[in-house]
Formats: sequence, structure tokens, C-alpha cells
Amino acid sequence: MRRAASGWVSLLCACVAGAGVAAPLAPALAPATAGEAASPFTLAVPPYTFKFPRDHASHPGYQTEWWYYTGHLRTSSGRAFGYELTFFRVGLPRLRAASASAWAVRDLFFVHAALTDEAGGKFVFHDAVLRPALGLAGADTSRYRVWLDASSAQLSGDGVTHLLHAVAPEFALDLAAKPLKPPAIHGQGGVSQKTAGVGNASHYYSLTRMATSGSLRVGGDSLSVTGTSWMDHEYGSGSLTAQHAGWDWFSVQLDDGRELMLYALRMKDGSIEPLSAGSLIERDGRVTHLQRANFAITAKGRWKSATTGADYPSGWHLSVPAQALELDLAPTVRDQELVARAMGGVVYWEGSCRVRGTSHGAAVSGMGYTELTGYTGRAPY
Amino acid sequence: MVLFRWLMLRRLTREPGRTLLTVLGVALGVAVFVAIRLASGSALAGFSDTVDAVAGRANLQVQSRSDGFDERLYPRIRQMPGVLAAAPVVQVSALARAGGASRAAVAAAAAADGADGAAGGGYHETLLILGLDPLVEAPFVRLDRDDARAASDPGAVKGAMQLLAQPRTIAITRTLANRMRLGAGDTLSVLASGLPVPLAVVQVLEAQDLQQAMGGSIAVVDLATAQEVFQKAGRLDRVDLRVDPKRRDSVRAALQAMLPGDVAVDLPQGRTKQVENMVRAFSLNLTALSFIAVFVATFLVFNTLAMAVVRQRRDIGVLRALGLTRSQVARLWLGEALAIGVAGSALGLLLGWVLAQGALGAVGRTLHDLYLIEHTDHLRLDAATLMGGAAIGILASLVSALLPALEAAHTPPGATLRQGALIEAQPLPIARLGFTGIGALALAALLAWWTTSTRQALGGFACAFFVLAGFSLLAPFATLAAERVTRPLARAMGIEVTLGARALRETVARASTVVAALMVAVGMLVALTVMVGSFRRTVDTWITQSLRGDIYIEPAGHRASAGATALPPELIAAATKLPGVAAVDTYRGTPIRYEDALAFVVGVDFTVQRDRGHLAFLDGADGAAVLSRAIRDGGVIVTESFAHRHRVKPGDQIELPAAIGPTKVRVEGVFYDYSTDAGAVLMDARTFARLWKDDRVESLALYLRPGASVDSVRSAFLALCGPERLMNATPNKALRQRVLTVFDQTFQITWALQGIAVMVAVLGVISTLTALVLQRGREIGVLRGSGATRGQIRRMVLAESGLLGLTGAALGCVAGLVLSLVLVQVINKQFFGWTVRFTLDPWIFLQATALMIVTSLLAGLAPANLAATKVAAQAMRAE
Amino acid sequence: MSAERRTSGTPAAPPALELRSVTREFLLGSELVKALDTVSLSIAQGEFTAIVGRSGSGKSTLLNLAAGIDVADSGQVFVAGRELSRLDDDALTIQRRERIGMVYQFFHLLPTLTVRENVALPLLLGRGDERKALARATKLLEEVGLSHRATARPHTLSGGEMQRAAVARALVHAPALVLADEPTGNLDSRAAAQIVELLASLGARHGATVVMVTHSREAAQVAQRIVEMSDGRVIADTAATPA
Repeated sequence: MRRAASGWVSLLCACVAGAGVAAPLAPALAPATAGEAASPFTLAVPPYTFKFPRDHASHPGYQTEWWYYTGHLRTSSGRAFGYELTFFRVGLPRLRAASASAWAVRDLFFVHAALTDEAGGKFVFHDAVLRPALGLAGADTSRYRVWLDASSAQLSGDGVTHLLHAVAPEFALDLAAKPLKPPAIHGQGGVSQKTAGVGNASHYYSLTRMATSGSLRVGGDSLSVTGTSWMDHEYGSGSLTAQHAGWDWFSVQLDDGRELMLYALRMKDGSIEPLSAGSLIERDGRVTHLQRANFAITAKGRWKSATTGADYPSGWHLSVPAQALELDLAPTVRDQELVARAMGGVVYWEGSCRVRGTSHGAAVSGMGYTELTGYTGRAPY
Repeated sequence: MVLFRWLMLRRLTREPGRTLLTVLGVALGVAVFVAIRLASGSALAGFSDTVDAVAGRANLQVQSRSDGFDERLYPRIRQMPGVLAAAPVVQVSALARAGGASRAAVAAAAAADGADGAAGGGYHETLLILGLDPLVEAPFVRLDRDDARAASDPGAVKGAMQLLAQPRTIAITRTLANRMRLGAGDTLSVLASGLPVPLAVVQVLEAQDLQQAMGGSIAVVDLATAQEVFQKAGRLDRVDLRVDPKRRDSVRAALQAMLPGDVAVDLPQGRTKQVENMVRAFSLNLTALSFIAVFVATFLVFNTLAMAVVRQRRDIGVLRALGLTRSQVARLWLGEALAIGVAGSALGLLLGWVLAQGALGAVGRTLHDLYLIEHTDHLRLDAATLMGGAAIGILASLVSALLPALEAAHTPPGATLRQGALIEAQPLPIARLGFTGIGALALAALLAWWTTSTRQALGGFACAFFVLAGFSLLAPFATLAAERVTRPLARAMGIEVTLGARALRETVARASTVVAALMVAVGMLVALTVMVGSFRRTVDTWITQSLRGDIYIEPAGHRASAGATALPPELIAAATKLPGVAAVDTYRGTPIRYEDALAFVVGVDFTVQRDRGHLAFLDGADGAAVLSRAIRDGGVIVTESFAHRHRVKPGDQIELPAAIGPTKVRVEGVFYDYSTDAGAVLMDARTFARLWKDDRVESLALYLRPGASVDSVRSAFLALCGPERLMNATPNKALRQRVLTVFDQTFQITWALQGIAVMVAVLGVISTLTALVLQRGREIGVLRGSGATRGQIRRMVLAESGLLGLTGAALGCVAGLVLSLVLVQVINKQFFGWTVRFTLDPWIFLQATALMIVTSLLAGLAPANLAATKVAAQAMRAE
Repeated sequence: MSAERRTSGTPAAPPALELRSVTREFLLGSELVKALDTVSLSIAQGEFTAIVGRSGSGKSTLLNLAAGIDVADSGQVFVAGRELSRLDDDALTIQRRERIGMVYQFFHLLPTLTVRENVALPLLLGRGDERKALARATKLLEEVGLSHRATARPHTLSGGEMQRAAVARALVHAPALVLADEPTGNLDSRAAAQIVELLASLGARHGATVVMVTHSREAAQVAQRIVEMSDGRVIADTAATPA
């Protein structure tokens, strides 16, 4: 599921298309408001076959799409950082006809970039939004490249390595991330179904282990770093329902060469969406699809944000009984909360975690990233 | 203070009438100054507010010197190091009305407008429309109440998203929403090149700054919407920047180096400054005129005090004998002036504030007509102006009290120990004053010469001042001369008239001060009338000669939207083919900054101008030849004011900040033009399109075939435009009328100023005559005792006032003639660079004289009555 | 201005007014007229002197010179030992304000002030305290018998009343020297007699030297000394026979 923070934007777009349109203009807008069936966007429905490297690139037919990198970096002297670099593309309702203006907008692009300084216990975050006018932001459809101002992610000339640039007021990243495994396709039949209903789904894959090196500029220091990254790419046109309260999402990279991805969609009534799912990726890249019944997530502590008042779980126990996998996740820094102003103030927690536990009784450890949404009490996305 | 209270204040309060007259005189002078300054200050402050509101928290602005620049510069500006945030802006003024654009609604509104508003369609609201990218607005905080709430207010975010995603949507200020009774979901129509465009209101903006600027007539649309609706695709008017404050200068320099010449990087306050410079001449002129009332008021104060000194002479002598020192005497009298000044100023500030409400409309309209400044209806009190006004009132009183105070101080303690007549301290040195006056006039002539040869604009005012001072000094001589000249007439009218006239001769010092005051008022009145009359006739002649098109066509709202107006090319092509149309001239203009001053560049069809227009060129140059050369070589012609201001003559090369970069063009000719004092550069439409990469057309002029009917061509053209597009198609004659109407409007405020100056002078007549009558109580008693009837006494005083009026008017006519030459040949020429053909309508002299005599007689009524009843009775009892 | 100086009648004290061969000429038309012709005169402190003579005899000029209102062409004028020609206009004015009281033929009360205020005026010319000045004026008005008209405006008074107010004004600041210029010239004989009496008695009570110019023999009779002038010269100087 990951990272549907941009879902909030989609929802907003829906209300733009529906409500609030002045009466005299309504007839002109009618086609756009005629409902799901007439949606101009492609729905994620099975079967779907991914083609790489094409599918790294943009899919403007779908309403929302994001490219999400997280990772753990370390300098030669052992200073540890977590990072996040994300690009979102959100298709707006197709209300504007072809226009002479370069600013007539069909998609919005967002970037989020965050840096966790584990030793210093510090977390910095930057976000921005632009429309893809005059080349200020955009995503290519043929060859993978997505950018916004000076931040970008793209496939290098070798067709394999991902080149990442993030420029934020307080830090900058310049990384090369080389996937060590083939893309892990989540869900079934190329489709990750989020909730009941045709098209309430996405095409979702991850590059779960990417050898990463490059440089990091923070607080006036320019540091050489190496580490491991995780990339998610997801596109679809569906949305969650009003009964959904938010979600908890976890990615874990274990030292034994396996990775785990789990997410639980929380319903407002306190239950968990039955279609919540996960994937276990073996050392050789094989993916085991995990259904709701195959895993359990237990929060072990709480952390309350002084900034937003949101009350988050902090520290978890993940359990995949079929694999005899029992993992404890602890955030490296407790405050890794983001307030995405450019997204209209969406609030979420996305942070690096340390992982310890057992696999078939043997000790195992690793690193992870956790995403928590819907804890502010207001609209979940 | 006790002395002052006992000796001065008590007298002032015992003579409430006279004190009030004097205070009122000062008050009017102060009021006029304050009103003018407040009004023009408010107009500018309104402008500066608008600039601030639309700039938000920008601390640097990239803006086009002309009508927009290529939007592809935006990414480069945004990526410039040191730029923290960059917001692209399209800014357009447009006429708007509430409601949709349905034909029925428009027709109803048009009907409500009355016959002449046929093309108005009810579009009465001028909106400043900002085309913004809501996505990058947050750092500028201009759309939302404050930073903290901006990002998280779902309503605001939703509004922004709607502007973004939906075409033809608009956000308006709370003020405008209330005024137009609009809310989210309602429709508002704007005129784009005459075509009504309905826009859906999706958000009401609460930001405080926006409510105040332009009276809240501000609306926000998405950048794309602005470019689509106003046909500005590819162009931005501005990019607002937030840059690192510490690096602002270096960022500014780096940006300027990167950008083409017609794009400037300014501080947000820069534009306000430019506008201030632009209207400096206008507001300086008004301020100078407002001083006339102050000037007249000084005469009034001077006379009041001087006469009081004469009346108090005996008491001053007693006080001196009792032990009051000279400086104490002087201080007491200066103190009295101070009291008058303070009271007058206080009242003046109040009056000024009231007058300013009226002046604001007139000043604002003129600034809008002449300089395209959006006008404001919000008067704001500005401490500096109020303090300045008070200072002027007090200073003028003190200055006018200097002589009387000195005279009082020099009252010898012994002179009055015996009963004596009320004598002037010294007989007036009439000859010496006269020669000084002639000296002042000579100095004025010298200044006039100096001003025209060195172009020192302020010299014109100094020159005018010395003319007035010179004639003031000639007033005593003129008073005596007038008495002498009218003597036979007086004799014919009876003994009482002769007595009255002679009384004036006896009190020439006082009388001549009143005459001087009247002279100043009448002089300015005459001068302005002659100047405005000459100017009007010149403009009229110019329109008749130069504007030869038969029908002038512009979209409704063109005046508001200016450069954001573009007529469809197919309409122009179709107009050319209309039966009866011989030729179509096109117009496109843009403001530019030339040598740091505002100027206009205009593209018209030189071929049409050559074949059918009749532009009059300086030095009688052959228009057809000049225009042919300009067409052939891509040259330009410039207006007289442009040539004057920038010292350009035919054959010179001037460098224009064109869109394609700085371009040198040859000046082929200089032509007479009175449409703008900023100056304009005219070029062939094709040259304009090349230099400014802009071939849009704002307005048209149709030249008809001989015999074609203006009405039928006009109807045919309007039919061509279709029922939707609102066009003003003005026949030549009506256009001429409209130009003259605007012209007359411009001078409305001038007349108001002069009216007040005349009023102050008349106050002087009343006050002086009353004092003179009281002073002559004994003489009046003797006359009555010798059998003079009340009517005769009354006529005697009226003869005095009539003679005062006559003398003031006569001297004023002469002074006015001289002043009008100064205004036309010196001030006008230097400030505006206009050649105004001096024409004299002798009627004005008769009118001014008659007006002054009648007003003076009216002013004399009360003193005459006083003399005939109360004074006479008292005097007879006393004898 | 101290009490000692005022009351001192010791022989060592300088004369209240002394003229030493004072000449003063005026141009009358084209003729030079000697208003005073080498006049020498000394008036002791506390003395009540009347100067008599016909119009134009020079008696008023003498008074003006004493007041520092006019300046001698030659000779010296001393007031309480101070030579006046050495003083500038301000010093002369302050001398008048502090040491001289004046009474005029035409009273010269200021019309805008009440009677009491007129009396208090000399005290205020030197920035005195208004309340104290008015209190002192009230006392003086009592002495001249005008208490009942204190708040009246001068034009409502009779001539005799006006002159009594003027006498009060002349004495209000306790001057050493009171100069009276024809104080009876505008009064009927009864009022005239009252005024001269008042000048004599009050002058004596306040220890002031009084110099009165008059052409009325009758009035002069009250004085302790009568100086008679004619054509700018002193032609007689007699001690009056005590009545």
C-alpha cells in the first residue's frame, strides 16, 4: 500500500470536481462529474504485467503515482543517517480543456525529503509542490526520470542504477542506488488491492535492497556515505473509503538477506481492513504474498507529538507465524513526524527503525522504515 | 502669560467677528493646502498599499518595464542562487460585474446605464486581477490571513485547488464579496477585450492587506486562467521573489545581469517611488496653487494686525510708559499672531480634512486619467501633512505679524501721553514700494528667462511668486491711481462717493493690502482662466487636426485593462472590408521606462497615418515625408513632450528598451501631442510588432470613404463584433467631446482652489472695511451731524469697497495677464513640454472685474450698515 | 526697590529727581524751539512738588525727561542718583516699571481691563504673580475709595473715579517717584481737589516723591514746593506756605 499521503490530494481533487462548482458552469463540467464510470483515469485491475525498466517511468493515465526512496546511510566514521526522498504525481480532475497557457495544469508534483540524524537525534524535513509547467517539475513516460526543482530521481545511463538528488534548505543528498534484487511485485496478478471495489487498488512494486553510495550535505558538512536503500513505486486511481482511519506500514531489511513489507489499514471502528497485506522477499528475490491472517502487528509504546498533538504508537512487534519470524522495531529517533505544508498540511510519521528479533528461534537483526498516518484526528489523508 | 491673557486674548474675544474672519482666513489657507496634500497623498498611498498588498512579503520583484515578458525566464529566475521563493504573476485590470454574461442580464444593465452607456453592460467595477500560482504562494502570505493557518486551513487549500483545477474560477476579497453581494458559487463576469467572461467565485479571501488595497477590488485567479482569459499566454507581468535578505543586492545584480533590458529587478517599494516621480509635477503644481490661498491669508492677517496696532496705538503707548519693554510689546503681538495661527491651523486641519474628501475624488480621477493610477476612495490622514499644514498656518501668521509687531514695538511711550489722532506710524513710502515692486517684476522676468534656458522647473514657481510680490508692492500706487482716475466718476455720483474714495486714499496702507490680496486672487483666477482657455483651445485644435479617423473603436474596459486587450485579427480584417470603410488604423501601446521616466511606445499603422492622418509636426515638417521615411527605415516619431523632456530632435538615435533587447531607432520627427505629459514614441505597427514581439491590436480607427455614413458603418461594425462583445465605437465628434470633458475634469480642482483664494480675499475686504469704519467713527459722526443721511453713509462705505474691488480687479487683470504668460510659456513648457498657443479672451477681464466689484460691494454691505447705524449713533452721542 | 531706600530721608540720600543744566529743543515747523533751556532742579525724596506754568512753558517736557520717555539734548537727568542718559530704552522702561508711577490728564486706563486689573497692571509687567497683584490692587483701590467699582470697566466710571483709579495704578508698585501730568486737567474742580489731596496724602503715606505738572494754581497750592516755569526756564521756586 505504501504512501498514500497523496491520497489526500486525490480526495481534494474529487471534491473540486464534484462540489463547489458554480451553477452556470456545471453543464460544462458535467462529463467530469458523471461518476466513477466516466473517470478519465486508468484503473488498476488484474491482470497486469510489469515491464522494466519502462514501468519505473511515469504512468500519467493513472491518477496518483509515487516514487519512494528510504534508506539507511553511514559515514566511514560510523555516523548513521536515515533518509527519505519521495516524488508524488497527482492527476487533477480533467476539467481544463487544451489551453494556450503552459500553466494549465493536469498533474501536480510533490517532493518530500527527510533526513534522520541518528546520533544527533535530529530529524529535518522539506516538502514542495509545483505544477509541471515550463519544465519546473515532471516525470518522463519513456525513460525513468522524475524531478521537481533541483530534486530528482532517475535511471542512470547503465539502465540499472538509480540516481537521487535531493536539495532541501537544511540538507542535500546525492546518491547512487543499485538494486541488488529484481523488483518485488506486491499483491496478486500485478495488482495490490487496497479495499473492496474495482480499481481501489494499485500497481505496486519495490526494489527492496539497493546498495547505495554517495554524498550527503548537512549543516555545512559534506559527508561520504554508503548504505542500503528501499524503493517503492506505486500507481493507481482508486481511493480509500470514509471508513478508513489511516494505516501503519513497515519495511524491514534483515541482515539474513530477506526483506519484509507489511501494512495494516485501520478502520475508524478500530478494526483492521481485511485486505491489508504484506510481502516477504527471500534472499533470491522470490516474493511470498502475506494476507491479513498471515501476520500480526502489535504496538509496544506511544509517542505524542508536541507539534500536532497526534498520538502515535512508537515501537512495534511484528509477527509472521508461518515463517516463525518475530521482530521488534524501535525508532532510531522518536520524533520523525512530517507536516507536509505543500500538501495542505498532511501530517504523518515516517521514520527509520532498528530491528531485532528471531527467525525460527535464531537471532536476527536489521533496519527498517515505518510509516504511520491518520493519527491527528482529522481526515486520514 | 497673564499679560497676554489680559491684553491680547481679551481683545480678541471682545471682537469675535473680526477675530473669526482672520482665523477663518488662515483656516481656509491651511485647509486648501491640507486638502490637496491629503488627497494626492491618499491617492498615492492607495497606490502604494495596492503595491504592498499585491507584493505580499516579496522583497524583490522582477518586472517588465513594458507589457509583460517571456515566461520562460521564470525557471531561470527561480533557480538563481539566493532566491528562496519565486512567484509568477500576471496582473490585469478589468471591468467586472456581478452575475453571468447572459444577453438578458447585459441588456438589462445596459438599459440601467442609460443611453450613453450602450456599450457599458453594467461593468462598473474595476478589478485588479492577479493571476497567481497558488502552489508557490505560501511564502508570500498574500492570499491568507497568516502564515500559520495558511497551510492547514482546508477551506483555503480547497479554494486554491479549485482555482488551479477548474478553468474560469476566481477568488475575490471579502470586501468585494460584500460590496457586490457575491459568495462562493456565484458568478462574476469580467471584460476581456470587450468580451464578457463569466468566472465562478470559488473562494472569498480574508487577507487584511487585500481588503484595504484598491478598496478591496482585488481578485485572484490561477495563472493559467489569467493567461487564457486575457490572452496573455506565454507572458508574465512579474515574478515576486523572496531572497536571502543578506544577499539581496548581489542577487538583484545577478538577476539583472541575466535578464533582458526590458525586465527590471526592483524593490517592491520601487514602483511606488516611480509613480511618485511620475506624478511629482502634477502634485507640485497643485501644491503650489494651494499656496495661493495661504498667500492671500497672510495679507489678511497682516492687515488685521496692522490695523489693530493702529487702533491700539494709545494703549501701547500707555503700556510702554508704564514700563512694558519693546521686546515685550513685540512678543505680545507675535503672540497674538501665534494665537490666530494656532486657532486658524486647528480649524484649517478640520476644514482641510472635510475638503479633502471632496478633493480626493477629483485628484484620484485625474491621476487615473493622466497616469493610469488606480484610484482610491479611502482618505488617510497623514501626520506629516497635518503637521505641515499647521506649521504653514502658524508660520504664515507669524510672518505676516512681523511688521505690525515691529511697528507696535516702536511705539514711543511719549507719543500718546496727550490725546491724539490714530496715526499711522509712518506714511507709506509709496514710491519706494513701487520701485521695489518693479524690481521684483524685473527679477521675475530674469527668472523666466533663466527657467526656460536652464529648464529648472522650480524657477517657474519662483517667477510666479515674484510676479505676485511685485504687483503686491505696486498696490499702494495702484490704489492712489485708482482714486485719482475715478475721481470724476465719483464726483458725478455724489459727495458721499467722493468722500468714500478719499477715505481710501487716507488709509492707503490698509487699503492697498486689501487690494494686494484681491489682486493675488484675481490674478491667479485670470491667469488660470487664460492658461486653461489657451490650453483647451490648443487641444481642441489639435484633436480636430490630428485625429482624423471617423470612428474610434475600443473594447469596453480597454481603459482599465490597457495592454491586456487584444482584438481578434479576423475582426480587424473584416472591418477593413466593410462597405464605406476606406482604411483601418490599428493601435497598440505599452508603457516603458525611458531615462528613468515613464513614457509610452505606441504602434500605429503609419501608412494609414501618412495617407489619411494629419499629425502636425514641429517646425512645419512635412508629415507624409517624415512618415514615409519612418516606414521605410523603421524609424519613429516622438511627441513634443517626449522631445522636450529627453532633449531629442529629429535625426537623433534613441535607444528603446524593447522586448527583443535594447534597440536603437532613429527619430524622424517630433509632432504636437497633448494626450500625455509623459511623452510617447510612435512607430509603425510592423516595427512595434518586431521590437516588442507583439502584434496584438488594442483599438482601431476607421477612416470612411467620402459620403459613407458614420452611423451605418458604426452599426455594421458592431454587428460584425457579434452580440457578445462589448465595444465602444465612438464617432470622431463624440471622441473630441470626451477628450475635452476629461480635460475639463482635470482642471476642476484648480477652480476650487481659486474659488477659495477669492473667498479669503473677500474676507479681507470685510475685515478691513469694518476696521476702517470703526476707526473713522468720529468722522462719520460729524457727517451725520452735518446732515448726511444713513443712505449716504452707507453709499460712502460701499464706494470704498467698490473702489477696493475695482482696484484689486484692475491690478489683478494686469498681474493675471503676466502670470498667464508665466504659466503658459514657463511652467507648462517646463513641466509638461507642451506648446500651448496663447489665446486671450478679453471677456475674462470684464468678468473678473465685474465679479470682484460685485463681491466687494457685497462684502461692503455689512460694514456699510455698521457705519450707517451703530457707529454713527455712537459717534454722535460721544460728540 | 527696598523699603529702606524708599523711606530713607537722610541727607546722604541722593535727590529723588535732579536736572543739571538740561536743554531740550524741538523743531516746530522751521523754527527751533527750546522746550527746556539749561534747567537745573533738584527735588528731594519725599517732597511733593508742583510744576506750574502756561502751555508750552516746558513743564511737560521736564516730566517726560524724568520718566525716561524723552531724552535731553544736553545736561543730565538723575533719578534717585541714576543718570538717565546712560541707560538704554529697556533699562529706562524697567526703571519706569519699577520706580516710577505715572498719572495722566486723560487717565489712560485700558478699556478692555477692569478697574482692578488696570491698577494691578504695573505689577504684572515684570511677570508678577497675578493673584498677589490683584490683592495689592484691591488694597490700593480701598485707599483711593474705589473698592465698589473694582470690577467695573473704565468707561463706566466718572472722570474723578477714573483718575482715582489712575492714582492707584501709579502707586500700586510702590514707586519712589510719581509723575503726574495735568492730573486735574480733565476734571471738575471738586474732583480735581480730591485728586490732588489723594496724590499728596497717598504720596506721603507710601513715601513717594510726587512731581505734579499743572497749570492750575489752585492745585499747586497743595504742594510743598512750587516750581514755576516759563519759556523753558525756571522762573520761580518757592516752598509753599503750609496751609
